[in-house]
Amino acid sequence: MADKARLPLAPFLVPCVVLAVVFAAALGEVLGYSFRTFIPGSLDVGGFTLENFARIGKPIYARVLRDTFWLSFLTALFTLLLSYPVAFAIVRARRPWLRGLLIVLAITPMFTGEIVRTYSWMLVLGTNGFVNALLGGLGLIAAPIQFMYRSIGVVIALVQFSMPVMIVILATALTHIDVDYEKAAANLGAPPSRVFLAVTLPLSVPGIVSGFIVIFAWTMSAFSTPQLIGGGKVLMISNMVYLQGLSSFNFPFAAVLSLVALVAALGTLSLAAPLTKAIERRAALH
Amino acid sequence: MPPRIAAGLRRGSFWSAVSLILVFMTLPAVVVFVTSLSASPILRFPPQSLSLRWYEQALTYRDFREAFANGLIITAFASTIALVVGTAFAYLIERYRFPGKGLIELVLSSPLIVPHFTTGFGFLLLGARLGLARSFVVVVAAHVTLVLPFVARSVYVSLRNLDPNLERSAANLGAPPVQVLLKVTLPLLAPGMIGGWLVAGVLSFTEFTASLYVTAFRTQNLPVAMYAYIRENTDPTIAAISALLILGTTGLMLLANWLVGLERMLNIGDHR
Amino acid sequence: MSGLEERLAGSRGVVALDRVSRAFGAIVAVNDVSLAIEPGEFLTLLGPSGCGKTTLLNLIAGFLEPSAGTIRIGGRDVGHLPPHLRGTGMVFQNYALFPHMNVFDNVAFGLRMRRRRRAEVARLVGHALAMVALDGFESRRVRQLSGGQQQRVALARAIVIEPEVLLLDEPLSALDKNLRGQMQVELKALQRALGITTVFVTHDQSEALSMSDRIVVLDRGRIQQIATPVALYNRPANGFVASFIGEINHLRGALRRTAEGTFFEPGEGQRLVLPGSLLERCEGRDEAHLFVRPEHLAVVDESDAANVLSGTVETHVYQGTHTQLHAAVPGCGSIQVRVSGGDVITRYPAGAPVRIRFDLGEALLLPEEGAG
Repeated sequence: MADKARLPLAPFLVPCVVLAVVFAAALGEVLGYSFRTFIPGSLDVGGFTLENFARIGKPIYARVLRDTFWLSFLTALFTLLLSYPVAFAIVRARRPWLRGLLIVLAITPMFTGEIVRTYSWMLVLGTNGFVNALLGGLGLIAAPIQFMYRSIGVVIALVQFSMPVMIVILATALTHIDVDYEKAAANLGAPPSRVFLAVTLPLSVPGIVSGFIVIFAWTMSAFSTPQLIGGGKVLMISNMVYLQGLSSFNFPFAAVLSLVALVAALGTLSLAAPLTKAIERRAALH
Repeated sequence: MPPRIAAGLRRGSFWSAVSLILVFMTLPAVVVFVTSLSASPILRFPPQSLSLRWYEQALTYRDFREAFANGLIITAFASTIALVVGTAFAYLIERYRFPGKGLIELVLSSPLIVPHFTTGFGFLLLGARLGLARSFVVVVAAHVTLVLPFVARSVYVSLRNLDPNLERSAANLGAPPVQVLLKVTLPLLAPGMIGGWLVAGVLSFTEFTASLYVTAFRTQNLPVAMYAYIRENTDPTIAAISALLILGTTGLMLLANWLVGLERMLNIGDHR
Repeated sequence: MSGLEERLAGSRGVVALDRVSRAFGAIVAVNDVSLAIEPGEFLTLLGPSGCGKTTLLNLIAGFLEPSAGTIRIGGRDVGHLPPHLRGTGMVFQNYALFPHMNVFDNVAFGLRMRRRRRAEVARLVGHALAMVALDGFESRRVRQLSGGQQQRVALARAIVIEPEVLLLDEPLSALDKNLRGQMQVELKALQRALGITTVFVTHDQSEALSMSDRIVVLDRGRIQQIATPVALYNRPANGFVASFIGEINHLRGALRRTAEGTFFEPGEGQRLVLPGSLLERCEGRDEAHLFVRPEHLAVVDESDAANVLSGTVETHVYQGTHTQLHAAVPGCGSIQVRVSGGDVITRYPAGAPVRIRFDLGEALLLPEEGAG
């Protein structure tokens, strides 16, 4: 279009650049602090050092890192298993009201905020919580099951946290699978279970992989759930950052841990694209 | 087994499984509501008697009231600034090409990936350096950064769906570029903008992790105040305020859905 | 007549394109086009998809800048003027009515951009809507309108601003056949009444023939011919135009020059006498392409007249007023003959032998089949 026919670039660009610079500066601060010496008992920091990075290698922190990966993996796995049927139901629901209802039920919990959701799981999983009261009341257990302050409680809550996002990703992937493929398979004699296993499931693999990786990366950043339900016994990177940063006021080390978390998240997500492409190529999908 | 019965069983078991999973997903919210109505300060199921005292407690507790007010201020500023910058960002990405476009896109979309505690911590440090430690400015800045990608996405989707002939027609009829923007483009983007604004507002109001780092007691928002309360107390006041939050945010999200259509924004349609 | 019609009738809406080209990367969409549009003329840009007709329209409107050449409207060089300053009024294929405004606000939009006063705007809008037979529709919302009604509102919106030239981008293509025919008549009548210079884009050659004062035939960015509908139909400049406009038979054959005259031989033992008037473009050629319209062929009973070839009936296409008879003639392929009357199928059933006389007075003889 002729130049006089377009709006100038600057009014759109400037606010974006300003915000980008501010955010970059914030991350830059984290980076900067990671190289400074911690002065115990003070918020001031000393000179340039690499000792904060060296500290990461210590067994206690390596274990936190490992636990974070493991819990994220478990969460992603169970989230996938539980989300797939719901996503399938949403996409294949014949009646619009049903689909709308399913979407509302599945997705709006995402917006109530993590503190509300974590607290509500405390009510469900606590020693006097809903589950124990129900099972005890029905006479199925003799003593309360201990969910709190253990990994299993944290994972259960994290799974429910992550399901809305996984459902959206899977539903999007399933939406793009042409129903005609399934009809063709059925027409050729495949019973519904085979249609699913041979047609639908393979075609949804890119969505499965993508969803798994997204939830994995997302869960590594989880905070309030391990903080409240883990209660200091289940430590993920986020909790470590909090301890170091806002309890010990060791900003430099907290900065290093924050960077490690960021790199881990970025690294995981950057796997997603090539991995999905490799799978698509292997399965000869378009 | 006759095929029709098999099909029926299959369908039945599928929907049973889905229902159970949905129960799992909605159970916590239900438990919160039930707990909030219990008369006893000790958590027990089922509640022996019902009462609204915890609602009264929640609504009169000073820290919650102040935190609620703080949250409104922060959210009002953050979501509105995010709306303006987010709309500019969406327009920029959709309509212009320039060196460094990819970089800007990456930086402003990255809050989706960067852990909230990293972002929060970074703004805490930045605020300290600039002498603004834990002021409202820093909190708002952090929130704008966090919710911007959602606003931008909502506006971007609306922009992509806009018929280009509408803007061409306006120009052809004599509207200079600014008039085209004001009289045609923005009015048609309004649903996407308002939907994005609502989503941004809800996300900002309920944001916890980053807020924990950038707020002080004076500026804390509601989730942070709730966290402080949970650490000290075990009574169901939190259940009451949680119940109120669930109702409020769900209502707003339904409104945003009606305006923009979350289904379309998230690209889950009826593909038959 | 109102002031609007008087003003439009007197407009010097001359559009002049001088060697205009537009390329998109390696693809040249409009190639060296020169064109002068007379004031008050209804000019059609006609061609298959991808021929550049819409690109050309967008160049005139200002949505694209030319890669080369100049564009003048009313004598002014507008090449670097943005669309809102060009003084054209455009109707888009999908109408592009503003969905968030009602009919009145849509039609008033251009007037308000020109800062006309409220009373004047109301008057002009009311008059424009009356001209397109939509009085009383002012407060309707766009989604309440049918396709035909939307098209009229789009038209009213474009003419109310009294543009120097009206640009129509396939405005009737979304309408069903009956409505389309009706709109063609109404549109032409409106244009006549207003006397406004109009550029009309279509791929439908019968639409172009029925509405235009002149037609510009385009193929792959180049002008093939500019002529009135009658001239285009009867004297196509090349094989492309001949094949694109109306139905035509295309024969390839050898030219044999003898003392008795020049003959066209499409196959063994077949021979057609060529009138001298056909020969000028094929001087010195041994082979040529012959183009003959189906209505210049006739099914005859005489066996020994000149220019009669024998063939076998393949199929019939009944059109109501006439029947198109398809016959296989050795050396010529499938020949279409227009036969009037409804009993063609019984008179000349499929498989029956048939004799076809060629009246070559209006035929076209070309050295190549494509663009000349």
